[in-house]
Amino acid sequence: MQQFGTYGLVAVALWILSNPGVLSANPLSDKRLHENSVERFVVVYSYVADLPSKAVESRLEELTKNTRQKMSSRVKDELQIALLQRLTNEKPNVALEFALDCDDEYREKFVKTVFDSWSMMDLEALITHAKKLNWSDRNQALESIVRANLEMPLDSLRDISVRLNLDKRKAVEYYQLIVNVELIEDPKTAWYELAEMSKQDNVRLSDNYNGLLSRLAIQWFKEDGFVALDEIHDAAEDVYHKDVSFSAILEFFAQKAPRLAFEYLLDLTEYEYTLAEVVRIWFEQDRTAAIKAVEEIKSDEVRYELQYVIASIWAQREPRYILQNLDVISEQVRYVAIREGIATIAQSSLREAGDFATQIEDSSLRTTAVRELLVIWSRQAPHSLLDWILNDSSNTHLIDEIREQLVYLTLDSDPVRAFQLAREQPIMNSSDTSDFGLEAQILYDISRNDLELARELLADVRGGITKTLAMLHVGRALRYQGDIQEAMDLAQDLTENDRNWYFSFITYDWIDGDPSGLADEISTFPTTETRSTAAQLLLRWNRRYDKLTDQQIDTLQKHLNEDDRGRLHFPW
Amino acid sequence: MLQFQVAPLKSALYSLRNILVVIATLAVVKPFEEESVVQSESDSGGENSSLSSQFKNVGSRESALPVRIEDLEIPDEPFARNVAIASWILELDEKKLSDWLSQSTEVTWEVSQSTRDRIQTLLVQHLATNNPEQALAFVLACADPIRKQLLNTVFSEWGTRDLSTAILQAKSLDIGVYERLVLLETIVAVNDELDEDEKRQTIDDFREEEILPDYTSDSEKRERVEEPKKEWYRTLRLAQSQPNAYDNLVPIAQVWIDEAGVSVLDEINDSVINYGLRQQLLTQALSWLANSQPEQAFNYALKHDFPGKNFTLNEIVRAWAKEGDAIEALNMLHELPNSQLRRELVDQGTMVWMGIDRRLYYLPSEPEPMKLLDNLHLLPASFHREVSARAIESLVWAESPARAVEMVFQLNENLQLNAARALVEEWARRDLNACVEWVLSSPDSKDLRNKLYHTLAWKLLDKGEREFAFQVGLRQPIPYHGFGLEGDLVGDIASDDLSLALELLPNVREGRTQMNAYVSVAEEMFNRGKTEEAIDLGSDLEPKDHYHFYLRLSWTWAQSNPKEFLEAIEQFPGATVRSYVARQQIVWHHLNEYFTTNQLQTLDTYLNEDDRKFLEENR
Repeated sequence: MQQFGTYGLVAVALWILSNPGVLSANPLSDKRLHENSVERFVVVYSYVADLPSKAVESRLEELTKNTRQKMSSRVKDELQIALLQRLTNEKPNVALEFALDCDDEYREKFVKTVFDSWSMMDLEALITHAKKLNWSDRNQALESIVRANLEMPLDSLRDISVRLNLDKRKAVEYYQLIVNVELIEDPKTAWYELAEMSKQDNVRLSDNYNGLLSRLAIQWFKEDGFVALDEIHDAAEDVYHKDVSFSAILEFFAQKAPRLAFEYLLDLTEYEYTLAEVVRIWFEQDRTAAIKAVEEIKSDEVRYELQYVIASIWAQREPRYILQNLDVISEQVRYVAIREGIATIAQSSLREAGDFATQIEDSSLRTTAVRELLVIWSRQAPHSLLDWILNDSSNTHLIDEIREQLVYLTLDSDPVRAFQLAREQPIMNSSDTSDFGLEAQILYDISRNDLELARELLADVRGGITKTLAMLHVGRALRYQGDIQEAMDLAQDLTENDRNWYFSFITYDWIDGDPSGLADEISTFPTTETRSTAAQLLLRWNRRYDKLTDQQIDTLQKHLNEDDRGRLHFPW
Repeated sequence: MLQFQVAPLKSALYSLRNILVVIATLAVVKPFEEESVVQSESDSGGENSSLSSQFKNVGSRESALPVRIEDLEIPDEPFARNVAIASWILELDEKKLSDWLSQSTEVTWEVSQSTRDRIQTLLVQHLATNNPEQALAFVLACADPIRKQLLNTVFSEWGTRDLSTAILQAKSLDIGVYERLVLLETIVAVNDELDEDEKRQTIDDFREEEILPDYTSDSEKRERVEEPKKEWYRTLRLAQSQPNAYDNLVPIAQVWIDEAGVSVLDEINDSVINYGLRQQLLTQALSWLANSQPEQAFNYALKHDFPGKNFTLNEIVRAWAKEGDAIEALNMLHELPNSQLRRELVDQGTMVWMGIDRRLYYLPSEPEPMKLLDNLHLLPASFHREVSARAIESLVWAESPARAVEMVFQLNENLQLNAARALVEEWARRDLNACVEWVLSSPDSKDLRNKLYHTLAWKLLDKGEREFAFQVGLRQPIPYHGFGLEGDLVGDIASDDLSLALELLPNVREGRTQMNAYVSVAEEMFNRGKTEEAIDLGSDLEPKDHYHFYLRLSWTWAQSNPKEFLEAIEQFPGATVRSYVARQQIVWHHLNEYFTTNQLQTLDTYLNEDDRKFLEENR
């Protein structure tokens, strides 16, 4: 430790010489240190280097436990770290114990400090200690180890991760967060090794692997140029992440030479997404050139895809101009420009976006715009959505078109008005779903969320199958929360056929959610037939899943009539 | 090349130390003289009085610093490294700083990355104190991940010295908006001139300019609330014109409840007209209350009707089991009617009590199922079966399957089967072979083992071990309902691998099991358009079983495709079988009406006298 003392005294002395005013006081309490980070650093480390070894631990404890210190908070923070680093240097076990015992305010920072130092000094000892710690501390140990040993083969770091009882992929996660790929001597070899590791680890979609491989690929490209790009492109199909790496290089290259990147990609049909990204980059740099190049593409499909990209990005950049000048956008993709333009304006003003949307001349595009806005509005300000759309009487036709979407989007914020809107939807030919009235369909959601309200609204549901379905939804919700008798009574006014249908659905729902509860409550079904049917269905279910007790099975069997006994032949 | 090494300089530094001690002593004695010297230097040269510039004047050691950064010998260990750096950093002038920074990016500099990063950070920090623009230019040319770290360093220094310029610079950088936000946060965090409100305002202004969502946490907002009732009504009014203000209502309500108690909820409920907002507020307010007064929150939620009630109950139980007394929570749930809702709430409480919070699935957990098993006797008896099974299931992965096995047999006898099933489900999912070995050989109770075959066989099927599943199915004695397990398994196997199912069919046990298996396989053949083969399959069965086989086969067939069924019935073996099937189809038709009148007439032609009579009597 002598070397620390020597440096420290030199630096402090020099500092003292230039700051005579502080000589009579503790140098650490100089107010200037709070502002000047470099001076703070020098003074703190010099001070700590000069402390006798024995004093380090007590000074650290005093500093951490005694809140009334005559020094700036920043000096204190830096001093604690310096003391802890030195303590780790001399007594790592003591330092770790101290850090682990600290309050939450310090614990994380201190544990990290200890591990950062220890991992530079004695890796094996650190691993031995750290593997006994909890998950989060083990993670911190691994992160410190990786930070300190970036020059170690990644495979070895993954082994250390396993030794710390962590997933080996964690090592890759930390490595990619810290490593500077520009310092990697042979990015090509590193790329192949990591691709192989990702295959071993079976991680196709990990951002950690993807990100690191892409950065390595770009580094390789910087060194070897198109040779790297071609080699990655031609790599075997089972090389993980090769496509992502290939795209990353081209997106990097497009920042410098978008036309070349575009032309390179144009013949590679499997990289449409990358081509779109390149066009996006090009559009940002030279709009006219990018638009012209896309217009000249022969393939209708590729041209459409890229015009889509241009429409989207242009409308994001200049939404008002685009919405007022739709003719600058290719007709096929105007709907995209409209959606993006409306969404962009809506970020700052829903009403302005609303004005733009309703003023679009083409009725089909107008509906597209309004539909887009409905989703955004319902998310941002659900309380005012219905007022906005319903207050304009000229929207009648439009509302008929968007009614179903409007109903579902306002269901959470205003279920009563959503219900009223749903009731105004004609039943026949109303939707692709069925002949049910829309209000019956939404009553399922309402009854799960607010049973009391659902009961009230039930009286206003239209008749026929719509009413029966609505009753079923309310009955299911009643059954769910244990109001079983009420659920059974609800079916009293139904015709026999509808009642059978009602009970069979209640039964299926019950089996699905609470089979044991059904077995216990089977006697609540109102007739011997309904009890028998429920018992039969539940016994068939149990033949497959075997979850009921012997006693429950006995009870169920007692409810079976002859017909239902015969149906037990059918598997679930 | 000059080597700037630490060890050889030791003796020189000792000498220097002694000299400096003397100088320092003199400085104590003559502070005023020294001050006047500094003053006169400043006046005459126009230099600032920074420490580094004064160092040069006091005793220049610049010559001791190498030209090339690679000539520094820097330890990797953080403390030693920092001490070494501290010994020379103040001596660097701007030119040398720039030179070294530039050299610090050279790949040829043989130093660990952690040391390189540290040196770069300190050099950038140093440069940023005097020339932040130059430091920024350097940093922007760096690659990630060090770029982000250095950007923070630059703006941390800049924000301390020149707040307004730093803010302007950070806002105008050509980087992602969230990265700029982080820099602004750094700038205001280090600045001592601004009070907390001003700091917040700076960030809020930027958020509004860039249309970023308000990310302020509720806990931060709660700290700002001083008069909750007043602020509640003021914010509620404000929200009419500024919807963003809605986000502030929840923390205000939380503080209000903390101060005034649960009764405030009625006022909150009454004051909010908007349905969706009321739901959001009550749920969040009650969930909040549950952290400190779970029983009051639970009772309030139970006794009042409000939107999102079930979800809120769930949240309260979660908080109760996590922050409060899980046993108390679960006992309270016993007072609810037996229902799916109660079962789900019990499950929620149980899981959280064990340390498994599904809502925080992304966080690591260290479950403690033993805590639950040790306290099982404190819970209502009707919960024991499900709760113990949950605990055993968790024990499999939280500790070990062996420990779970041990605990299964320490449970009351009436709980063991259910718990053992949960054990097998979880164990088989994690280590199929070990689980199979245990089920086939270990449980002492033959009865228990026989029952576990069922769970295991279906698990094997899930894992694609079809033949093995079938063999396990054969081991189970025929259950009370008469359908051997292998028969049901064959039905599932047929849908994935019809030829294997056909291969296995002869091994199926006789009786209902055999019939069940044959029908399942024939149905699969029918689904695949192999109609004739499906019909022929019945010929393997005893003639007395034909009635049942063809009737079962025709069950779904006639309803899904009546025309094809009527063409096929001709091929059913024997007139009495055809008559029997026709008769039953006519009976079923009256329930669901899937034949046309003409098709019914065709069916009628297959009826013999007995069946015709049966229909007339039962019509």
